[in-house]
Amino acid sequence: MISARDISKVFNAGRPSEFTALNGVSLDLRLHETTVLKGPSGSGKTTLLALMGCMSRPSTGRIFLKDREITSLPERFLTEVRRSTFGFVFQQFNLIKGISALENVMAPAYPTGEKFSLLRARALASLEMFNLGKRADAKVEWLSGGEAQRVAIARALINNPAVIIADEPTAHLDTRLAHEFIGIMAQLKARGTTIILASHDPIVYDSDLADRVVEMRDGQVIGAGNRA
Amino acid sequence: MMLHPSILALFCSSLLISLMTLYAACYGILILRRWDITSGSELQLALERRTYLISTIVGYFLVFQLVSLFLFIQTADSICHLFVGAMCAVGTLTVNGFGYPTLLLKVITFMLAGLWLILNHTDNRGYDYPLIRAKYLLLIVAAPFVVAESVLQATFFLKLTPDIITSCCGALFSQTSRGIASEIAAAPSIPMKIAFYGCILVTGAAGARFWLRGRGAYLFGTLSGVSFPVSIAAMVSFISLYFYQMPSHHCPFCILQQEYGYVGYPLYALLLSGTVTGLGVGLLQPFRSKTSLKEVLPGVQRKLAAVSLLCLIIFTVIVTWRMVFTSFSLEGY
Repeated sequence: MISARDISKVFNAGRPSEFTALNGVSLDLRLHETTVLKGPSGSGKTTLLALMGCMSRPSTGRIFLKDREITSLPERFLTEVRRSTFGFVFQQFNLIKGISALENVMAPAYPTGEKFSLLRARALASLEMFNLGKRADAKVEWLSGGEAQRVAIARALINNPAVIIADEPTAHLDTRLAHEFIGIMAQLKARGTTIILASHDPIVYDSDLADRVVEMRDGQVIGAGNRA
Repeated sequence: MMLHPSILALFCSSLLISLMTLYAACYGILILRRWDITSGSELQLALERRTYLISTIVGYFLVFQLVSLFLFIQTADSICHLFVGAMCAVGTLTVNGFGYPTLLLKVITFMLAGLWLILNHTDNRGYDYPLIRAKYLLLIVAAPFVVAESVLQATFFLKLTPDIITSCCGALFSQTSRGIASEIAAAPSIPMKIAFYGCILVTGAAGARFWLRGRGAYLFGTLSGVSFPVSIAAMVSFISLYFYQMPSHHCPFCILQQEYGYVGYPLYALLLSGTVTGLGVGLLQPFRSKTSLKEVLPGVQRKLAAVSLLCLIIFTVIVTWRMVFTSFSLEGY
């Protein structure tokens, strides 16, 4: 269970540009399920994802991961939780330009100190799983949108995370690629991976992938429901 | 004030260290009063974010505080030729009434800074800020000493005037003058040797016992604290004489000079490091029951004990080597 308790996030607090992205959000997400955060731009989906994924800290409130409180953790412990528990797929993919797809996939695992040859073999296997084995040595700027996204997913999986977090994963994809993404996520879900998606794309939140849809607006949860 | 590069460096660094320590101590009061790890309040989360930054900055400043003790002594030693009658750091320190109090406070703040760094290092190993209150309490205790040292040091430097006739170490550490230094210098060497080697032996045994069995942390910490003044007294009483090969020269500062291979620096560094790490073993002992430190703390204490023992052994080996393999004989004078 990932639990958020009374979470608020205020940017530029005390300044004229102060902005409250989240306001008193409490939410329980079950593990091994797929949850979709649904809502318009500016509703707080990305901020909530970032907080749950330990990428930023709330202004108030606490987040618990399997009963362990994680928002108070000093940075070195938080980094370890982030690395070992979460895999991220960003809206803009955030692949590192100038290096190959394979090197991008390997990058998050470098700090673990795993033997290079073993890591390389795992990364190649991961790319093969997404039919990108032949593109492993290609620089990421040479990849198509669909290929880039699959590389981003392969990178998110390299540390075998228990939770995959994806922010507007279909925003830059056409319908065919969006369905392909849903298919990949369904495979991961079948393997027991917890998936948290933020999207305002009906292809995502209306798909069979979603076990639960949480609706957000103006930094608050306005509805949450399980899908049959 | 003399515009010597080292004096300016000490002046500026002590000012910065004092300001940062004061700021951190004020922040520490807020921590002591309002810290509640179970709360998700805005204040608590702000405290958690800021303590990480403040601890890191204070840590770097206090590392320089450790170094500044040696820089202060080296500076006092290097400018002694400017004062009539001065032969080493002693002459500089006696130019006015602020030299020795500054040195004493430098030694005290060295100990406090070292202990704070040990606490901070250990606190950073726990996931729930296990030593945060102890860490800031120690900082609040240390802050007045750090500020007082800065004020005294500044006054000392500001009142340094080259036309003053000062005392040389021969006068201050002679057996015929008055004061603690001369009393130590006049103490018979054999009882002092027994006291020194006895103290080192007992401290070493307590350290080895802790290192091997994990027992006697408080005893080892206390003995480390005791062995420091005993060793300093031994330096004045008989150790320095073997380096100078002069039966009446008891100065603990001349040993820092080039003439004696700067051997005083490693000796004092070993002594101070050994004392601080030994004290650190005892200081950490009450926190062994903290859940987040249960696995980490014994290892940290063991490493500290090992460092302390190593310093103690190297210090003893160096001085004993000199005493055994020099043609100079103290007994009989």
